[in-house]
Amino acid sequence: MTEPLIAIRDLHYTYLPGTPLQAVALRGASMEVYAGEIVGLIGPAGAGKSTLLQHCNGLLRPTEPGHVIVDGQDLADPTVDLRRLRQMVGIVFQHPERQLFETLVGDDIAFGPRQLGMSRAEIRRRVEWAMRVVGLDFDTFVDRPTAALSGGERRKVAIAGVLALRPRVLILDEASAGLDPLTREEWQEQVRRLNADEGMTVIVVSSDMEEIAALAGRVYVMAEGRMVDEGTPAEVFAHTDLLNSLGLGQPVTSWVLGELRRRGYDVDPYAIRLEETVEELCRILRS
Amino acid sequence: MDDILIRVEDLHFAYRAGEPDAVPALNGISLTIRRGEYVAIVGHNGSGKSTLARHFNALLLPTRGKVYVQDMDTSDPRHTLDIRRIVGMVFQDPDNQIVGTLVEEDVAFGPENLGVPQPALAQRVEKALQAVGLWELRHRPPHLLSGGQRQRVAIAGVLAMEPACLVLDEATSMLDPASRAEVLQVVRRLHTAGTTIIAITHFMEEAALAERIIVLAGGKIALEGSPQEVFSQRERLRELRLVPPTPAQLAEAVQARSGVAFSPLPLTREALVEAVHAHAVPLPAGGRP
Repeated sequence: MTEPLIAIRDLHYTYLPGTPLQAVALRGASMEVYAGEIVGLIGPAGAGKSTLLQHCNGLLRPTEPGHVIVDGQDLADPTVDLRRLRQMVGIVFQHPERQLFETLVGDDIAFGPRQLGMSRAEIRRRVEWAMRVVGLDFDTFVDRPTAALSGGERRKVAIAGVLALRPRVLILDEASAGLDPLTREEWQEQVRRLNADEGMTVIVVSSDMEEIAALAGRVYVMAEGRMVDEGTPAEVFAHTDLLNSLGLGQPVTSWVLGELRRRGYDVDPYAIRLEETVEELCRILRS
Repeated sequence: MDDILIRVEDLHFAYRAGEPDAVPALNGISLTIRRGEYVAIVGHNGSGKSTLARHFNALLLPTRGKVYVQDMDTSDPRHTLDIRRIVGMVFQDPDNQIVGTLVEEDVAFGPENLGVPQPALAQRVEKALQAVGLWELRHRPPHLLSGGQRQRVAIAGVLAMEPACLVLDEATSMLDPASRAEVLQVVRRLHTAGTTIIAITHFMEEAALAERIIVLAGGKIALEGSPQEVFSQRERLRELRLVPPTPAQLAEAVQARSGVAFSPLPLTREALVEAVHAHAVPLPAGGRP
């Protein structure tokens, strides 16, 4: 049996324990991510998604019962090499544009590789590569002031900064919010390619169910600090009642087919990709 | 014409204008927004949407060209306060817009600063909180509310200024689907009640709710029309780095494959279900075929 690359077992976490502001964020969350997977994570605001993910590269350390094991290492161990861990697990947070701090685009993206003491040539190669992946033209943008970028461009720079470290695991926490539709399509294609060609393992958190349906091979549903559902996107998105009770909704494809089924049409509720859905819709039309 | 609320004439804007590293953002935009209209502004990242929106209430001033709000020139500082009372802005991140420690204090902040006296102030706050459906939560601290609720607090704060026009700059982009639906419902209700709505969005299903869509590209207007007109131009949209809403894409693919013609083209998921239902093989009475 292959071991999961990331295994989270019965993890609990409380912010500001023992104070009047104490807030329980995780109540026994478990998740396994295998090398080479794209795993989706969905859940309403406040479900604990970001808290969970911050455990994956040691930004938060287990303080209560539960384990976070990354590449065979239990992160509760105080001797964990955090520098190595953070090179291995890159996180693009919500509002990554707020993480920009250098004056020029190129310097911001090069920050991580510089910290790792890489050669100038290697740094340049990585910056060029990362900018190509996120779709920023090197010559146009490398010397542009970060202050003059649009919201979407700032987001791309922030993502490129994480990619330049070439992490084995890429965690995207609402990273595509605010991208225009075609950029979002291209970005999804790039994530697929990072996964297929570079072997990058990916965890995607998104409130855009279309994006989860398009990217993930497996989906976890989180609510109130623990997992409440897990399966392929087709399985998870067919659980209409659970999704509605959590305020998550469904991708357009699942929603339309579910609605037609409710009206008595015999369509496959597990169809989720656009082509499959088109086929299902054509089947019930008068030809 | 007095039903024109906002008039933009040959607007040019550059960040760091006049400096050697100036970055042009708007390159000659002319448009009018009529009172009571619901307009969506869409466009690729960096197309100038947010820059344009910030000209509607004098947060940014033209490098060249003019913006008039109710015939007041936004470049004239004597009009700035009046203009901001007429045009209210709601931004992407509710947490940057909330200042009060309780919901009702937050909503009262704007009108209080305008010098609205009691009891008119209390009435405005109540009306605004009722409009967004948060009156029951008025004594709660905003940070304990959900993202959708906080964004509705931000909208109420703007509504309490009684603006004629609400500009939503990607106001739903950080919200989960249920919260987004909540906010859109409030927006639709406000529009029905007469508020002019300008919605900047990346969600094409959301843009489809507007009466008119303006597509920006490279700081210029590239395409304009009803959602039906704009979203039926698939190739042109792709050049402009946009795609029609998913329901419209599904509908077009179904048309191409089945030979069935939907008219009009369904743009929302609800419309798609109705269109398919109307063209489907009728169900036998009493259940599934």
